[in-house]
Amino acid sequence: MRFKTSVRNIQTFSKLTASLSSLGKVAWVRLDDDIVRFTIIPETGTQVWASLSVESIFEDYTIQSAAPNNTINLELPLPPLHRALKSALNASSASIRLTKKDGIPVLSLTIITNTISSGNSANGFLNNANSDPFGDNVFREENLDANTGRDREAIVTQDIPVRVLTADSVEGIHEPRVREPDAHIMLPSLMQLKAISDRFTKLALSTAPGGTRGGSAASTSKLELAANMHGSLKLSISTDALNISSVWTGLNNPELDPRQAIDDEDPAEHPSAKLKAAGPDAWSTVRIDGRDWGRVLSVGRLGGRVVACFSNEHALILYVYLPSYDNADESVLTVRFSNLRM
Amino acid sequence: MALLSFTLSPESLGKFHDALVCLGKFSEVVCIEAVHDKLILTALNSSKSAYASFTFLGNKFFNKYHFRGSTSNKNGSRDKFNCKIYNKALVSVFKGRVLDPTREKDIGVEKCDVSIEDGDGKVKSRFIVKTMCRHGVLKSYRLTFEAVAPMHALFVKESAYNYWKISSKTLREFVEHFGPGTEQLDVYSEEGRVSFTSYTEKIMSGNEILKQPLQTTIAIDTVEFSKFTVEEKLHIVISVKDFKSIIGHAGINNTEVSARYSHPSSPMQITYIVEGIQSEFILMTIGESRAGSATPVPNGSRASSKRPAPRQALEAASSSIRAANMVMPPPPASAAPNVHREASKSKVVRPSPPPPQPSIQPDALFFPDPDGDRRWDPVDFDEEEDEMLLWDAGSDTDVGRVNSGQRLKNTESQNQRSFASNIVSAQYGADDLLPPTQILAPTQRISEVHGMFD
Repeated sequence: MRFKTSVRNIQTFSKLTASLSSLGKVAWVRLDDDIVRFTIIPETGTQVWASLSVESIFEDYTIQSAAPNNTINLELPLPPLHRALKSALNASSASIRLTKKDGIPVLSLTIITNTISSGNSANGFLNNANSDPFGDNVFREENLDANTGRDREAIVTQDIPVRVLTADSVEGIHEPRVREPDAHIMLPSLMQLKAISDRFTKLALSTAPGGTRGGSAASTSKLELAANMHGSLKLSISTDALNISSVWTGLNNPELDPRQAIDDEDPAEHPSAKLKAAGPDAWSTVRIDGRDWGRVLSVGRLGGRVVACFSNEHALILYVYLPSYDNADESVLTVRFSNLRM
Repeated sequence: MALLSFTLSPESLGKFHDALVCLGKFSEVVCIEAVHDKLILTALNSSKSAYASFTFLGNKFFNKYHFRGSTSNKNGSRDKFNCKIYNKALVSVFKGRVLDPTREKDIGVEKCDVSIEDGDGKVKSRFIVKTMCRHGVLKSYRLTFEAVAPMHALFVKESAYNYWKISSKTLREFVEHFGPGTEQLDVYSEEGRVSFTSYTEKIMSGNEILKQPLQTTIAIDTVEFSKFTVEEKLHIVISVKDFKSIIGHAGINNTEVSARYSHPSSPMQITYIVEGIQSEFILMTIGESRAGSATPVPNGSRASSKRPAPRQALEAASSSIRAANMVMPPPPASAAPNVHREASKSKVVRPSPPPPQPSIQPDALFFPDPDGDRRWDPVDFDEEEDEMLLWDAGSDTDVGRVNSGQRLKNTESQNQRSFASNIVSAQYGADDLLPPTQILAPTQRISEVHGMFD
């Protein structure tokens, strides 16, 4: 079993792990010849299935195992992975390999980074910043062998403990099938959505019976999300004390991908088509935990387009389409919320 | 008349505060020692495995520094003043630097005068801080202190043949790579490469493996160091938390940090100098973990150092403590059950960080206490709570502990407490003790307290 790769885009990978680690502490990572998949299935809360093309985050990718497609399954703690990648943010290069240290399998992240070397260059950095941009020192003369003096490398190795999972143990885990959505809509700017949602959640928590720290009753704030097939998204909370809602209009209801449509079904019979026909006052609604939602919206940092699919009173699925590299197959992060009962 | 007075400029106030914050990471009490030309702040952690000290030079660091050796003391003229103060109190008093630059204008500090008064009953013993702020605002604080001699760790430089020196900024960069949760830091060099590894030695299996903290190794060339003379292939292990605390302070200054050490289980000294402040840290190093618990046999060259055996070379204590020990009255009766309890607990595994029990060498960094290596005993928090309930034990030692803030800390180790009670008996006077009313037992149970509408 071999796995070794360079990280093509440390920033993206780091943002991905940041988003994932806010949603769960441990991920099941499935690596094969083409796809890198991160799955988070917490005991409660939201499920995440992130499927990325290898090229979108890695390069010089080598994988080898006895399983078909050279699949390797790992159980990986996300916070350490994210912490490790933080070391790599200013690195000149970073690579990952699966290895064993002291009998424990680890993902070893090797980062080559330049250090502020000791002596004069430690000051030089700051002095330059303060120097007069029009002074004589603008073109500071540099030593020819600058490499020996300044660009000193430090090799940082971050070892993340992992468990290598057998194919059998993950066989039974499948992406759950959800019934066809009634409404699918492109979400507005996640930054804006998050700011408003968080505000709502806060209000719901602070006005819930029992006050801000009032035990389990107040610990879930139910955020109601609804969409129609005429470009509107509605976000609302209702507590004993207040009802508030925000409505976005003019959003896009994307066409369903014909490739994913079920063959023997008439597109006009699709639940979303029916909802569309029912007019702008027909909504598909789900209730979700406000804090869960807030955490999920942190995927906004990845800068992807987000399509929300509503199954009325049943489930909400977010598809986060990550910006792809080289027009390769799009990488998608799928987040599933279950509807909360009233 | 003030025994000691000094004045801090706004910049030096900030540095003074930084030093206190750093000391706070080692212990919650800070020992202050003043002599005619310098002020020394020290802290010793509860397991006595780390010691931190900052020496502020009277003429370089302070705007004004005046130490007046008083003649009122029974022993004749006093050439030294010692006391112990709760660190949190000092940190909040000396908080001069306001992080928000927009607010600095309003509450900026213009200067800070500190004086210490200590008298024989006539004058109250107080640590007085007067901070002059803009717009004529004057803040004064009067703190009580406990007059005790500090513990000093001594370091024998001559036997520490390993030495390196590196920019504090570089070290700070390294420390930033260390993730949370690790306990040990291993420094190792081989063929011109030096590696710093932060790790935790724990045996885990199954799912627990994933909870193992991130292990980080930083490998650099020895050219990064301005000086580097270290034995090849030597593993030296210290607590990563202590190292982070030190670099947290050193890294905000642009300076060069020096480290000196000999071999595993002997102390390591880390020093650096920043404008009028000499910083010194002495850390216990952990014995070679893979070599089991055997004490390394000193070879010929090591044994030829000033003292015959490393054990003696490592013993350290201030002379005043020695003196205090000699004149000390027999331990209070309550100490006896303590010893007994400690003995019964010596097999419990220590629950919290550094250093792991099996790796500890019998050699001690500090003055050997009569309990031998029980200083490494685990802290039993439940036990401690029982202790806390004994409000009205009524002995003098308890009064002293209340005063020094020891009672406030319920994670205090057994040793620290015995140290505290030893110290109390060496106090100069009783006028800085809290009035006895403060240790009275509560008269009403919380459960009996009813609200207005109950």
